[in-house]
Amino acid sequence: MKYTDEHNALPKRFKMIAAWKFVMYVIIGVFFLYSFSGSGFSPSKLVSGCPNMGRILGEMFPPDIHRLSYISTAMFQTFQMAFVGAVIGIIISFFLSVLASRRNTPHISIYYASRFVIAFCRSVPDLVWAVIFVASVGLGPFAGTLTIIVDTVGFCGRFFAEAMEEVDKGPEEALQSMGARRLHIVMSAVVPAVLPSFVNTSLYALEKAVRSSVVLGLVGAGGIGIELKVAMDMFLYQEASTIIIGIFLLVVAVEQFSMYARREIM
Amino acid sequence: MSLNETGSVDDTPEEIRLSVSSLNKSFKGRGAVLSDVSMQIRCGEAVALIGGNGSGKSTLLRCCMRLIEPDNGEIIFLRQNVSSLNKPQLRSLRSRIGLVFQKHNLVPRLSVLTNVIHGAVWREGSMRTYRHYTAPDRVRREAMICLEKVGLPHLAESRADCLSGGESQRVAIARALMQRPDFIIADEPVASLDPKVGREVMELFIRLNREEKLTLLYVSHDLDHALDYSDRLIGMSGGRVVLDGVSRKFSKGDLNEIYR
Ligand SMILES: Nc1ncnc2c1ncn2[C@@H]1O[C@H](COP(=O)(O)OP(=O)(O)OP(=O)(O)O)[C@@H](O)[C@H]1O
Ligand SMILES: [Mg+2]
Repeated sequence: MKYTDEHNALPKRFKMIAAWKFVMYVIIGVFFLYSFSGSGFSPSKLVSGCPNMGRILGEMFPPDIHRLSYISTAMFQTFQMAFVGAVIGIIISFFLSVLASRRNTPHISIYYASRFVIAFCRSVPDLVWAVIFVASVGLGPFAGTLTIIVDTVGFCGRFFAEAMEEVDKGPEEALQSMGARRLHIVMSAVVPAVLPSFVNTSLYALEKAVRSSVVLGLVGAGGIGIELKVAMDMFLYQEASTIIIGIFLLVVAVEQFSMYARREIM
Repeated sequence: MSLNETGSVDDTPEEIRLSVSSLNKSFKGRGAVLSDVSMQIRCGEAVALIGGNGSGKSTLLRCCMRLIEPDNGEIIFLRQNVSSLNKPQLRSLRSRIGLVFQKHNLVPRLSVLTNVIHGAVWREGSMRTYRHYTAPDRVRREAMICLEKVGLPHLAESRADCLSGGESQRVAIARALMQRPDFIIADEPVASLDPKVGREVMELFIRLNREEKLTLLYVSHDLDHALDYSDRLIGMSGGRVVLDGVSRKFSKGDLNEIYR
């Protein structure tokens, strides 16, 4: 069939782009090339580093399981940190997100304040929080747990609040029309509606907490990370490989559990 | 039987329960939705509100409950000036008016029984009414009675989002009854019901109206219902009241006029 209607011309495949957009693309491209020097990216180093990498990998085998029970204990502690931190963080996020959603907040200034707290928790990276907490409460898992709490609040607070703002207004209006106060409306109409999204977000938060709890040990905030660092620094590559495999198994186990829970609860 | 603010029994039939005068409402980008609307509803009356799609019926009902703020005009509901009430007074007034929404607005994922119990939220005033399993026994029993009135006690434990359109409509009615209201406002209460159940629900409303002196204001697109189940008819068109009078004086032909 031939397209003949002259009044409705076929759209062109490509359109001319505006001059300022073109300039912007060029600037971004040039900046990318320039950034190579800043990022220290060097193919030759990568090539010359390959044998080292191979050697380390070779020295990692077979994994050393002499200290397996000690490593499992540390691993378990890592998980406990992540679990406790995530759960407390989720609970705090829930209350904070009620204040940080426009429809439920008691006052607009509280809305902005809680939005700010959540954004602040999120924008400071977890390792920075860990350093701060280690400095204030000392080395050990408590600093790590605090870090996970703050990190979870930054993550969940935002998504909880967004979920609350997106939910259908009908049930809320119904409760309002029966003389319910705000707290009642939140608990009876908002929470049931956002529950699936809350569960989903919370499970992601748990996965995220487990992953970050592993590295927190690097700055002394408890858990398995410090063992890995010590093993690497002392060239105990066989022990390091045991730890890495352990971390891998832990993360995969938590992700599997969370996938299963998601299916069951939805 | 209803109690007024002073606690005395108040069933003089001539008493005006809802009075709307010179109400105007416009939405941003939509222009006037209600223009100079006035109407009065007396104690014990059953009034049908009719009018084409978009004529402003639901908006008018929302204004009466102050779920949206009118631009100007006066609404006196159960002797109280709606726009001058503070929050607790407004909650107390709303609790006395059962509003059945056009879209039912049940809370999804909660059981039917919990949804009905929510009707008692103001009266009970406690966190126990958040869910049926924490509610006091007498409240749960009363909720079952309300469900029986709409013929759905067997669905008490079903989830509200798993009901058919007609079932969820009737649960919404049961929830309104749970408020022990003095006044019922229903926005197209039979729109999603089959003809038989539709008649049953209208008859239920009329029985409550006659036996319990419940004042009733409902929207209907079914002109036979509007004529059969009302004392008075109010017709709206383009945001104005264009017809207001005793139902038996109208014929179906008269009513069809307003949809032009
Ligand atoms: N929140 C809103 N914002 C903008 N426009 C609105 C809003 N609510 C209602 N309207 C408009 O006001 C008009 C009247 O709506 P309303 O729901 O009152 O009509 P209705 O008489 O109940 O119609 P129906 O019979 O279809 O239920 C419609 O044109 C609608 O688009
Ligand atoms: Mg409507």
